[in-house]
Amino acid sequence: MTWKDQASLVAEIVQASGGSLTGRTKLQKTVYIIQAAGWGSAFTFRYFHYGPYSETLAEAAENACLLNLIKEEKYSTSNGNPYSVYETVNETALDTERSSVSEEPIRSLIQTASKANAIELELAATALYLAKEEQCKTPWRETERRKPQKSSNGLLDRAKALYVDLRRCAPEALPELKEA
Amino acid sequence: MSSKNRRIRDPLHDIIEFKAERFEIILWNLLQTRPFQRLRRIKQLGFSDFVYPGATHSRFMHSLGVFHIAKRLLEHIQNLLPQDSFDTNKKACALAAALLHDIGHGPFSHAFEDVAKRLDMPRMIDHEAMTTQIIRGSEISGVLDKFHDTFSEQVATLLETENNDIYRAVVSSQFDADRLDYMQRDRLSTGTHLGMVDYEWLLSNLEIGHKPVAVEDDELPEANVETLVINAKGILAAESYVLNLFHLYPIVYFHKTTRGAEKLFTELLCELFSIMRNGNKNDIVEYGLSFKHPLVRFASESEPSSDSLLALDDTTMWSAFEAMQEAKNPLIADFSKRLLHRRLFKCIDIRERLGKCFTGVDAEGELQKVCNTVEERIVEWNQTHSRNSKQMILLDKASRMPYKNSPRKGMAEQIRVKVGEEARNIDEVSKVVASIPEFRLFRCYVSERGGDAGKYVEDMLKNPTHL
Repeated sequence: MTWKDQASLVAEIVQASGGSLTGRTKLQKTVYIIQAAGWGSAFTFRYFHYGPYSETLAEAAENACLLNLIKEEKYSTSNGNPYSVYETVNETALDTERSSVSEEPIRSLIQTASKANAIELELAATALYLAKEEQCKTPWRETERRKPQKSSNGLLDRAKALYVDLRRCAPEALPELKEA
Repeated sequence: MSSKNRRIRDPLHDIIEFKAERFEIILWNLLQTRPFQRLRRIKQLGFSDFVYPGATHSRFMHSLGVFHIAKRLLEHIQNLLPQDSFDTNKKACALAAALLHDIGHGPFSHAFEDVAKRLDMPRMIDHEAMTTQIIRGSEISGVLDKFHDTFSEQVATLLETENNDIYRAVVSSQFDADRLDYMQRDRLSTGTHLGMVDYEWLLSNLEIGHKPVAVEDDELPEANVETLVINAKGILAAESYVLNLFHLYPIVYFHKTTRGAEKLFTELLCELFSIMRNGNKNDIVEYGLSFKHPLVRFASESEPSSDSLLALDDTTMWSAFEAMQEAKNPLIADFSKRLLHRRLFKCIDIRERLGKCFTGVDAEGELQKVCNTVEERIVEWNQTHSRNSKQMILLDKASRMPYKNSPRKGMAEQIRVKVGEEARNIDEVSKVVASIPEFRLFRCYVSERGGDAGKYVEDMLKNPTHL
C-alpha cells in the first residue's frame, strides 16, 4: 500500500465519523478497534505509553493533511490540554461509494467510537488490546492497574459499557471481555 | 554494616552520596548487583564516540546522576508540600526507580531496540518493559524487598503504569531526573557548548500545581493531580531548557555518522538473527561465532529472556564483531569489519539535498511529499535487490519536536508555567518555543565503493520534480 493510499484511508475514516473527528488519540483508538474487528491490516499497532498506537497511522494522518484530504486544527482546553480536530476538506477526492469503511459493521463502529468520551475509548481500546494481542485473561483489571487515574471516578465502568456498545456493532468480530 | 556515608566522585555532580541509613544502604547494595554492574559496560551514547571521542560515559554513571538529581527534586517537593501530605514510601519508590530506570537497556541501546522492532520481539522493543521484568525476576527484587515485602513490586509498578502524580514526574516527565542528568552529562562528554541547563535556577523555581486527568479535550476535573510548575522567575530558564534539549538532537543524537553506524549495527544483527532462526544455525562458519557466545544464545531464542539480555553488553558486541569478521556470510563479515574499523557507509542527506529545490509558502509540504515518494522507491529497491553491501540502501528517518506538547505523549510531557494564578503550557507563554519548527531528517546510507545503489539514489535526486 502506498503512502497516498494510507492517507486516503485516514480521510475515509474522518469522513465516516461524520466529517469531523476530535483528537489524535480518538483516531488511533478507533482505527485499532476497527482493525481488531477485521478491517484490513494497513496499520501496525503496538502498546506505547497510553495503549495501542501506530506510528504509520500517525504519519498517514499527517500525509492526509499534506494531500489536502483533511485538515487538522489544533486547540487547547481552558486547562491548557492540547487537542486536534480533523475535518474532511476535499470530499470529492474520496470515492465514498467504494470507501472501505462504508460497509457495516465498520461504519457503525467508527461512529460509535468517534462519539465516545476519549478517556473511556482509550480504556476500552486498551482492554481489547490486552485481551487480543497480549492474551491477558483479566484485561479490565490490567487496564485499571496500568491507568489508575483514568480508571477512577466510574470511568472504567463507563468504558466497559462503551465496549458493550461497540460489540453490539460487531458481535462476531470483537471478543467478549469477560473476567473471572 | 558500615556506619559511614558512601561517596562517589562524579565529573558532573562532584560528590554523589548514599547515606548510612537503612534505605540508602539498600540502594547502595543495588549497585553491587549483576544487572547494575552490567551498566558499566553499556555506553550512554552508543556509537557517538565515533564522532565525539569523549562520549564514552556509561549508563552506570548516568544512573548514579539520575539518583542524585531525583533525590534533590524529591527533597524540593518535600519542602513545598505540607508535611502530612508528603508520602515517604512513594518518595522511596521514585528514588529506587530513578536509580534502576536503565537496567533494561540492551547494548547500543536504541539501535538494539530497532533490531527488536524489525524482528518483532515485543518485549525487547521497549527497554522500560525489560527494566520492570529484570526488577521482578532478578536478584534486584531480593535487595529491594529488604526495605519491605512488596517494595520491588511497587517500584516496578511505578515504572510501568500511567500514574501522573508528582512522584512519578520525578522519574518520567519533561523535567525528570533522567533528562536533567543526560543533557548535562552528554554536553560535558561530547564537548559541545550547546545543551546548557540552568539547573539550580530551574530547581529553585519549581512549584507545585494541579491539573486534571485528561485525554485531549475530555477532562476529568474531579481527578486533579499534583504537578511541577515553573514560576514566573523561571520561565526564561525553562525556555532555554527546551531550546537546548532540542539542539542536542541534530548535533549529537541524530548525528549522521552515529546514525550511520547504528544502521550497520541493525542490519548486521537482523542478518545474524534471521540465520539463527531460519537458516542453518549449526553452521557456525556462516556467522563466525561459537555456540557459547552470549549473542548466539540470545539470537537462538524466539522471545529472548531477561537473563539472555543481561548477558549482552557493548563489550560482548565488540568481541562478536571481532569474531564475525571471519564469517562466511559476506554481509556479516563486511559490516563487522566496518564497525570495528569505523569504515561506514556514505551518507546521502536526501531531505537536505531536496530542500534546496523547493521554495515558496508550501515548500515544506511539497518537500515532504517528494521525500515520501523517495522512501517508497527505496523500500521497493531493497525488496527487489539482494542483501549485499553494494546493493543495499539503508534508510534513516526521524523527527523531533522542540516541545512535545502532543496528546500522544500526554500530560507528563507538558511544561507548565505559572501566569498569575493559572498554570499554562510553555508554548502558550513563550513565543520562542511556539515558533521553533520540528526537526526532521531523512537520509540514506550506501556503500562508498560505488555500485548501483548510490547511483539509483543520486539519479532520483537529480530530477525530484519528476517523482
